[in-house]
Amino acid sequence: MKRPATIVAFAYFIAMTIGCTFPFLGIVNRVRPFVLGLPFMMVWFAAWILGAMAVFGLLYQADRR
Amino acid sequence: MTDWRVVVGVVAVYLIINLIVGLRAGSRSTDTVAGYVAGDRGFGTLVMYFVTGASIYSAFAFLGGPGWAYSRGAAAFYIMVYGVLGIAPYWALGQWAARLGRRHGYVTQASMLAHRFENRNVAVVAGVVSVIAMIPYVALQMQGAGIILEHVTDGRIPRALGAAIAYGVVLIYVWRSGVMGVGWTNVFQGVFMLVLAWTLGLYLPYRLYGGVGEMFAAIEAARPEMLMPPGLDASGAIWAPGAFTSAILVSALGFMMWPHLFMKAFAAKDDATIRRTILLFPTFQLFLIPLFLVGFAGVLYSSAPDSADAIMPHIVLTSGLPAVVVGLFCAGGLAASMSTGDALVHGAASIAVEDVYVGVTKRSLDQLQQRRLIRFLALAVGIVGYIVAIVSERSLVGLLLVAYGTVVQLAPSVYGAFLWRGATARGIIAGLLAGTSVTGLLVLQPSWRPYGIHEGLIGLTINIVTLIVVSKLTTPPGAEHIDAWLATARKSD
Repeated sequence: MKRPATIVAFAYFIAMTIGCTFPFLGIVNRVRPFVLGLPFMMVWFAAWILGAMAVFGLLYQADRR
Repeated sequence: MTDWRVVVGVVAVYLIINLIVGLRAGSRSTDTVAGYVAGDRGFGTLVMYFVTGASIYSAFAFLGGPGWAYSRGAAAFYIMVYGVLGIAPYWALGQWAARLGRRHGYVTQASMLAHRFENRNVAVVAGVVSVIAMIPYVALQMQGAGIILEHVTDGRIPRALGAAIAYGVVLIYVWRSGVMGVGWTNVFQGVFMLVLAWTLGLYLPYRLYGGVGEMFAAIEAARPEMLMPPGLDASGAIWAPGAFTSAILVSALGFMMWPHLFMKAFAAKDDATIRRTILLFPTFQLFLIPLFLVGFAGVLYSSAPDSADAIMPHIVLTSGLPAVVVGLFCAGGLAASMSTGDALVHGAASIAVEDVYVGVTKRSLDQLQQRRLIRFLALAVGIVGYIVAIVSERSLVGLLLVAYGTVVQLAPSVYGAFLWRGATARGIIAGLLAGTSVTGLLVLQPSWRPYGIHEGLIGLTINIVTLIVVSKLTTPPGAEHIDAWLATARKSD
């Protein structure tokens, strides 16, 4: 009886764990391009954090119904 | 030279505002234990947001974050990641715990476990482990406060005195107001330190390099390895990728196991408050970015501080900022330290009384006696933490690693309670004891760790294996009790 939002959340956080740790990190690891003046890897982690907020938003919406 | 009297004046005003906010907050709750420890289960989203945010935005983030960015570069990015990964499971755990707490009246994580496993000794052991983990964390916050005051006054307020002043204020408002004092001062402290962090984090790169992008371009040209994970280790060599990964994993697993954090599920007004708090929490992770910017601004800076942890006060003091701004910075740093330290002191004292004292003596205290005992214990925790802070030779990061290695040992018990019907009280106790002892041993004998893996992860493995084996050999609580308990957890209101 798992809801779609729960499945998305599970998948996202597993992907985030892999995407933000080695060995996977070695594939994307680079200094450029800068975004808003920040080096690429800082933006990489920030993007995963913003994505996590979107997933929490999805769960929040699902729980309201 | 910055006029230290102006700095001290600004800090004094900040501390007085804290006292007023903290003392007034106490009149908002009842005189019961639930009032003193869990705020009568009435915390709204605003307070919950800052209480959870403060836990990541501690002295460690305010000094250690820039310190790591400055000395170890991209290694510091692990701090951004682990908080979000760490709070995600709380979407389920926090709401489950909150429902059980409303039904059964828990105010601590350990008492929740004791009821689930129908054994008071579970609370005693989990409570002792919690307090052991929290003491070095309190000490770390105190050291941070001391370092800041010592630097900005050029040694006129020595580290030990600075820590004593800041935590004297904390103990006064925790004594009077309990968790309400912690919650409402955290709101004030949180707003304050965020404004300071963003102002400094954006201003310093402009002032020193002409912009954030310009600063990173200069670092890229001189030391590109600083901008790519895993960054550097303490000696300046490239950090092991495995160490970067295991730092994220241990911290993420341990994050919501922090008793002062987990027990706030019992303070939340309703389930929706917990959900909103988690939804907003990642913003605090992004607020670490300006702190890292300050640290990176130090990489090519003309002079070096005496230790990496002091890069933030060092730059602030030597880059010609007006004294009022230096004072505000100092207050912001104290806010980061105090907003975490107060919750720790309060949480550790509550657990020591609710779980350890009541569990061991089997005495039933009335509400007022219990509250008085928690107050005295808060004082005691403050004093013990202070002694550790003064005596310990370890750096801020070193203290944090010890604390996380211990607190992560609570994870199998909490997950076991919700997810494994076969777990038994003896299994939980044996796992906690085995995991904590192994971790403690490896802290004392770091060379015994295979491949330099974090001691907390090794302890955790032993802990889980012990929990499973001992549970298989003993009998779990009756199915009826577990069914009812789990049904309460899963049923939304």
